[in-house]
Amino acid sequence: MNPELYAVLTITELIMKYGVPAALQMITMWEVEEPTIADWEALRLKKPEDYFGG
Amino acid sequence: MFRKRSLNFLIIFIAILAILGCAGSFNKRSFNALGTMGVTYDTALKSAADLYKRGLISDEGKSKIIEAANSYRVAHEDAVTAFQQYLSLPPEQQAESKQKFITLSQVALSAYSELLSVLTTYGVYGEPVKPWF
Repeated sequence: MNPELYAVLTITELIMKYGVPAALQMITMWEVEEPTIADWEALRLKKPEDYFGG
Repeated sequence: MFRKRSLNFLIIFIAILAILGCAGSFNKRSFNALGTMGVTYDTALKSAADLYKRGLISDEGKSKIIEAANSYRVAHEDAVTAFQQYLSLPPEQQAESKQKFITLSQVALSAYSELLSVLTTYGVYGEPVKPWF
């Protein structure tokens, strides 16, 4: 497949599935070439209760 | 003209990144896989919380989602910690710590699949992730 078309389809799919902020988060993550300990630290997750308001 | 070239470059650059999303070093592949699961977790729980606030998910459903999400979160955090330990060691001492990370990643992947299956019951969908190790 043409790489430009592939990129457009991939980005569109990400945006449709997750919305713009999450798509950007994923693209930013892909841009990290060789993740450091600090990059790994950024992968830590919020507690599920926090999403539901405690 | 310059804008069009820049746009083309950006599109090709992102395409390459997308194509290589599952390639690269063990570090990079692990980072991408756990990162993707993390973004999915975050987005899916935001959607579930929104559905709950609108009354489309019951209290019982909320409890089930929180339980499955907690199982995944604990496994994810353990895997992240294990990888940080692996990275902090000199190469000749990494073998045991890499194996520990792989074991914890298997637990995380299994908890992630379980979380996706619980979320699907409530109409929230996430990105499946294949084993990368």
